[in-house]
Amino acid sequence: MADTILEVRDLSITFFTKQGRLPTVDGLSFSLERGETLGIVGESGCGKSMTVNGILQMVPPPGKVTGGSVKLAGEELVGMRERELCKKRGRDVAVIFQEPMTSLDPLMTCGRQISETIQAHKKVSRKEADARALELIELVGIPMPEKIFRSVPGRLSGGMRQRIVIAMALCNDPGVLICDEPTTALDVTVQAQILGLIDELKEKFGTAVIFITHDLGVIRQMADKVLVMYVGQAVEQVDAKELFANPLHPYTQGLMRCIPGMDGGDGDLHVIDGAVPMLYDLPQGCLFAPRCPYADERCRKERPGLYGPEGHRVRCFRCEAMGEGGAV
Amino acid sequence: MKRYLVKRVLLALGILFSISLITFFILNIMPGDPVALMLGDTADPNTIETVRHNLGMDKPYLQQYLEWIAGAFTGDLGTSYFQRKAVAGLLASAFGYTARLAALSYLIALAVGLAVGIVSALNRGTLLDRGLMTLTVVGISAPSFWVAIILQIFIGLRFKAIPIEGLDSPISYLLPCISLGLRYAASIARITRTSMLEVMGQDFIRTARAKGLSPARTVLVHMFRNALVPIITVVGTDIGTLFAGSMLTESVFNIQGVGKLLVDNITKRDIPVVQGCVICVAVVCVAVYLIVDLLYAAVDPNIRLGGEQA
Amino acid sequence: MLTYQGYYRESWELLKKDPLAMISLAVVVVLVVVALFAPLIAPYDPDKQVLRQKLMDPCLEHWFGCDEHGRDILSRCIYGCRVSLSVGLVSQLIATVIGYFMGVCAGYFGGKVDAAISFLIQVFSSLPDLLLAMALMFALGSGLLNLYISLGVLAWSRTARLIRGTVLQLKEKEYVRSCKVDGGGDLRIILRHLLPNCIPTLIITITMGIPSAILSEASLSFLGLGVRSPMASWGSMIAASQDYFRHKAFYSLFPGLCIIVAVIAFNTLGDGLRDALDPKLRK
Repeated sequence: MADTILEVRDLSITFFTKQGRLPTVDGLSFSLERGETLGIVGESGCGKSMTVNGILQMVPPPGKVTGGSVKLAGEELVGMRERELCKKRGRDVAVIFQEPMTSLDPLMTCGRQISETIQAHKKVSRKEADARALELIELVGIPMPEKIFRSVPGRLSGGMRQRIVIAMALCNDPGVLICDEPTTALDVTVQAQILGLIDELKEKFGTAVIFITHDLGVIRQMADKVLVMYVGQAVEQVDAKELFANPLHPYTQGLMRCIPGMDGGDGDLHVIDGAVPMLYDLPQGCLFAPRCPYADERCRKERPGLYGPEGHRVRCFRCEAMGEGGAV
Repeated sequence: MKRYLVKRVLLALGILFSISLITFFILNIMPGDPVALMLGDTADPNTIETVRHNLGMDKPYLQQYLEWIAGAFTGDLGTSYFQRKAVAGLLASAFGYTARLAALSYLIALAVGLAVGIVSALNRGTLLDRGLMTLTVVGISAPSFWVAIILQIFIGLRFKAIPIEGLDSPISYLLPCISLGLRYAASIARITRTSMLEVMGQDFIRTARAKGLSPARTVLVHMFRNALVPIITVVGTDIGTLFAGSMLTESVFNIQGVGKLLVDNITKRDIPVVQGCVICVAVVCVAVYLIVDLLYAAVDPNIRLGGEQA
Repeated sequence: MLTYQGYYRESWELLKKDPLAMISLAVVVVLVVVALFAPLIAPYDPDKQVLRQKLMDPCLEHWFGCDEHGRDILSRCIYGCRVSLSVGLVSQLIATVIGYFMGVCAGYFGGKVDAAISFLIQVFSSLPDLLLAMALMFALGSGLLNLYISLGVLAWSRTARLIRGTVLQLKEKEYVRSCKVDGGGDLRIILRHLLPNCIPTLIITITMGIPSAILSEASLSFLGLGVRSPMASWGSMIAASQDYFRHKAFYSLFPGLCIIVAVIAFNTLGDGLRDALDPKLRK
């Protein structure tokens, strides 16, 4: 295996609530090479964001990482002491969160929020950190950087704030950048700009990116490989090109048909019937069976594993025959 | 910012003026003639009349009020009926005790309250949190004068080094400060906890953690600063009641402050002194509210730049 | 939209699920019973002086001991409960009536009326309650009735402020407007339409106001500005105990514990009621 920077194995996150144990993320595995972009796609509430928390070891109570491992540049993060984790977060792995409106401290100037991040990880003076922060603000394409440097976030638009968040994420040149729906809350035009910016900076810094979204269009534009999630599980893991050419899981196929102008063919907007099952009331068999047009008796009774060759794994009995290394 | 400032100051002056009016009329238009009380039962009506005239009490109320308020602006708050001293002078010597006691009590209460609130919020739901919060409930509900007496009994009488009267040595501040500060420490702790919990759930705290800030910096710089605004409000309203609470503490510990002056002279019906004390407390309260208003603007740049907000 | 009945039933269901609120409600009920039936419950006449029992320590006959005149402290505490609860309740009712009308007028009429009342609210809330209450008690003289009045007429500003806010919100609601268009009189709207909507706020302010009135009464009585001797009040008992605390700690202890229990009970109940009644907290 080449230059693997992040390796997640069987990551499980469980929430211990009054309704019982909720398996928010269940046995998720993937790896990320240096400079590569992994897209994670799925409906809201399928555990995408919790996966981010799991990687950072920041699962809020009553949730807990209940199994698996997260290796960042060969170092195990699961079970690492908080003090050590603080040194990793923001330096080796940085995050851009979904809501630019609320993910910045409303009382601190934008410049300071970036420079404090630099100072948290590098022994530099306030002055040097501020200078670097200003450079970054310029780099992410903000007009009048000096003025914005001294502004509190409340004065800025969503797009501007997200640029600040990006500058903040990149200020320590992280090996892995996690973008958790970075453009969902933004206008379409701004969305395109921000995506372009992330793409550009990714090239420039050689950062590996995990790009989380519910938008397959964005995935097509950004990702090298894709992980489709459904109710905390990976249902399809494959190379991006292959995914769009040949989606195998019924859920992925459904998602594609939901997008106008994509694979569906008939031109009508498609809807996947039914709703995502509740974590405290999961079906006995395949989690997607209640909504799946192909579901049969077995699907309703047994849970499928991940089948298919190394490069294209699918959680569906229909692909079981492909086996390890079988032809598609 | 300037307009905001001017508006606030004018409002504060208006409030003070109204308070002086209310107090004057409450205290002066009432049954019970202080002069008769002063001269005793045997005094003859003529003498009473002469004394009333000398004290200016036979003038119309409005004139009395205007003369009094005019005097107040020049620092003359009238003369005590009984002690024959200027009220302003009595107040000046008493004010130091009250101010020192109140300030010290409140500073301690603030430090303890903030610490307890933060610790409780960070350990939400644990035994520690529950224990501390139960203590704060008791702290808020216990009357300060009772706490004072209990402290005298269970600490003052046990440890001879700790005096139960006066404010003469540093150690003598101990019991009065605890009894006066307890309820404020408790209420600050509760509001701090609530406010911290509210901030803790917000996205920018997750950002702060995700960018690898130390827990201490996350808590103190990002959480606490954002939790501060509701705390400042409580601090503002507290200072007013602090001076009222200090009356009780002063009378238990026999401290010659404004509160004791007020209480002693209420029983003697020495109106100018009572009036002076009330106005003195009112000035402090209104000034504190004004400062708190301006502090908001200092803590939250959104208010400072955006003019008035809520 | 929920009917009023449904609303209160739902609030009650919510309140029942809050164990702290239910415990405090039970304590409040006990206190009310004690206050109402004090003559039946008190083991002795609270004012009867028995000189040979002077400052008697707590014993089987006198659970809380006896005071400097040989009066039974338990009985005096029980009668003191009457004073505290009645002062709390009556003063809050007075405050609520004044506060409601002030708040409604400010919110409903707006403009200059609002400006004037808002200013008054600020004036009254910028002085500590106790201070003006002292001045008023000084002017009126001590006694139970004067306590009701003093604490009542000074505590209205908080109620008025909250009611003003509620009314401002309600005024924008469709049905109040349509009633106004239909030519409903101001007074009719204030009493028929606004009052029912303000009741939850009023219940909360009354419950939360009672403990502070109890504390104020205790403070005033402690300073000798409250009830008239020999009437028993928790505050005046603590004041009297001051002269004997060197040897008789129990004398100071019990009345204070009574105050704490009553204040905690009302405060906790108030918290529970606020959570149960506040529509904003409901999903």
